[in-house]
Amino acid sequence: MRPLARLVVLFALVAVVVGLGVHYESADERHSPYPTTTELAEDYDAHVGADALVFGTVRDQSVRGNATPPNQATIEVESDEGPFEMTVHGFDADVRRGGTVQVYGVLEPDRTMDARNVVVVNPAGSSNLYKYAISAVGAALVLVVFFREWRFDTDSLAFEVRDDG
Amino acid sequence: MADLLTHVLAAYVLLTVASWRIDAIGSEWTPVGMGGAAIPDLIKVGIVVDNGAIEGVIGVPFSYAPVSTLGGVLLIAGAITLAFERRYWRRAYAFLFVGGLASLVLDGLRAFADGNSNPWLYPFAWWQPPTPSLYVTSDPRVAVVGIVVAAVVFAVDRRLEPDFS
Repeated sequence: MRPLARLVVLFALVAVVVGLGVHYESADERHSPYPTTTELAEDYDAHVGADALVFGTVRDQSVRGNATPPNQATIEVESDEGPFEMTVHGFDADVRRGGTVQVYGVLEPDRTMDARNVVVVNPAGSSNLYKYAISAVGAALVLVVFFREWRFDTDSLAFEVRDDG
Repeated sequence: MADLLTHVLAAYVLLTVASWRIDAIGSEWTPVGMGGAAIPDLIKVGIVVDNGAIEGVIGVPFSYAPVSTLGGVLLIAGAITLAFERRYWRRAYAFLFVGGLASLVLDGLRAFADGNSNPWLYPFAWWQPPTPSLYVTSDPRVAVVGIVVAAVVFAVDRRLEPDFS
């Protein structure tokens, strides 16, 4: 296939991927079993009593009653309407301020959640740094092993197996 | 999702072990599968060019989420295949797809507070398969397990092919 034809097919495939991205964004809300954070930001009270799964950044942890360790947290949740804070009761997780958590539970009045389960996504704000670093190692590894076996042929503008490999 | 290094190592382990039985998996194809394993990680392009920037260009709401789904892998594997010489297309596509699929399956095992993974079969289904919640990506033990298993497979592979230079 000539380079121009390849380019056309490439653009067509990328266009379909973008199309999927548009479809997903428009249809996701209908298929999600829980209210989205944007729906919560717009009209929280309409969803009180519903189950929800929210991702948030831990801003503060405190003790309610006489429990140790902390059993209540304030998390910041992102939405298309901007970030907002929620209070989580029954917060049982080993996480530092700035860490990221998933909270699954019931929505209660005043932007409060009663957590059924909490998963720590990032135990601290610095966890993302680890993910980026380890992923950079992965990307470097792929490139190294790939170009040990393949070379870019400048005549055909395509990858060709190395015959010296 | 598991980190990029773990994705790539998982594909290496899968294809190398398979190559002990299947002659068609030559040494040049394992790196292609490892590259395919990185396809779902392209969702991280969203950190550099956020979905708002894309929405500004195309004028409608957009999500990167499909990149890390079956539909995204099928299409992006096709786009990458175009970079290979014509006679390799069929095999390049197969290995890119298998690598990407392995990453999706691996990601489907990570922890979600409500016990359901992302709808990664999109656009073929919105079903969110239950996850055994085996790990969170920020846990360094995930990459350590990946490195150890890949090292063992690498050593065994060398031993099976003493002529390998």
